[in-house]
Amino acid sequence: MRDMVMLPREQDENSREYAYRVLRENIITLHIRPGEMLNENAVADALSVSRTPVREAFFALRKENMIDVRPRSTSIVSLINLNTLRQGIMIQVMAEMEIMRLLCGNLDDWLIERWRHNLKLQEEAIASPGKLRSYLALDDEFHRLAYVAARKANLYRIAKTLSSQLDRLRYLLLLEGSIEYANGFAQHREIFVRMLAGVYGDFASLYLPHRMGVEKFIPDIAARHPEYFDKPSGHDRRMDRLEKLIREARA
Amino acid sequence: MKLLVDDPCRKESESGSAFAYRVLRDNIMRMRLEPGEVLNEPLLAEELGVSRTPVREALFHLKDDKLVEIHPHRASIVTLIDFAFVREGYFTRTVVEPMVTGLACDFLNAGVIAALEDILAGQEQVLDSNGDTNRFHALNQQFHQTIYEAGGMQELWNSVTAMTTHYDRLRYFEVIADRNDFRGAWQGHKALLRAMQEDVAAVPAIARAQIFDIENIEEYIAPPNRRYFLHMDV
Repeated sequence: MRDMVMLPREQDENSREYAYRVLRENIITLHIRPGEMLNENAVADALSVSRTPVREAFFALRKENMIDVRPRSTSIVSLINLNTLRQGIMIQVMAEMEIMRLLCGNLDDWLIERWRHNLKLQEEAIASPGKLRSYLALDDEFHRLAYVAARKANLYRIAKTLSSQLDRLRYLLLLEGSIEYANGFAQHREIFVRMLAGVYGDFASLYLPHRMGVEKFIPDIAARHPEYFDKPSGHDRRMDRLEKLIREARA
Repeated sequence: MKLLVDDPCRKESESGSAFAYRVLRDNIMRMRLEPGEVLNEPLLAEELGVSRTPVREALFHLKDDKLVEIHPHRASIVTLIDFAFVREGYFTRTVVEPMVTGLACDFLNAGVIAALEDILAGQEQVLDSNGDTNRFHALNQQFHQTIYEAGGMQELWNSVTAMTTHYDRLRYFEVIADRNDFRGAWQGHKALLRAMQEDVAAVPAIARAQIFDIENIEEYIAPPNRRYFLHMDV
């Protein structure tokens, strides 16, 4: 916990929300590493809040599988579970392929405006060094807007929770340069252009690499950081099968 | 209030709050506790034979499921069935289930097939004896859960379940349930299990066809019952 980064408290935020946000932020940016012990009292002291909101924040993070509770009520930051992570990718791909089909050619003015603005911020973020975290937040926002526009805001929240393991992996891959921001940004722009023009076409060929591209880096990154992963594993053949199923469903 | 307890015995390993959660959730899903009903914590604690703290914890879990609204310093109430959330739940099932069932075909083994066949046999028994439709629904849930688990997709099942709390409640709603063709559903699931073993390419479409359709369902809800619902399209 000695590398924990403090964040200023927002005005409308209660202690529980604050504790949750700071902890989650530190976990996904690997400032608190997978396997590291977390102490409720120490967190409460560091954030100047009482123990109850910290305990509630721990509880919420446990539900997201970000924290494991070990015997004698010690908590550790969970190791990245690759099976859960793959299920996060699955729900995103399954839901978003259809959400994008629904939106294609039917974009509301507000969505066009918000996407344009979001893409502009993404472009600025990738041009400035050290903006990794803001890029990831903008990436999430790009996708969240699609769910909201399709009246699927609850599904966004559930899918986001299931794919929380993915946040740490994406951060690690970007940090170590395995994947490039510029690619993700270019894909977002291409998605926007297609949605605006109403050309769904062979959307799978654009979207599957965008959402499932991380898969091919998993064996390598898990081998390089075995201490971060729960039961490191190689390639998951379910992901190939899923690609095939999605392509067939659209055929 | 008179809770209905299917499996009244608190299981050995079950904590007070897990027990309270299980029983309350079941009662809400089956409309034994009606949408809009006020929940009295001390009374619930007494009926369940647990103290108030586990009841309060159970209510917080139910709030996450969107089944209960908690108003601090006031009463907790069972949420109305929100059609916006029903439609989202339906959407979730339609996009996830065909793919998951397709993926699970690679993981079928004798044990999984036997478990699925047992569930179908249990459903047939309910049908032949004109038995409890809630039992039929419960077996249906088990059938799908078994498929998710076979493919190692337990967490995905949990997410879909969290998305469908209002959709499932609607299905249990008496008037809607009466429209349900239970034997047809059972035959559909039998066909699905067969395709999973013999005709994998046909699986997603068959799985899609098993999902209870909610198109135009609002029309079948009689005006007096509309007080249970939010965001209806009629």
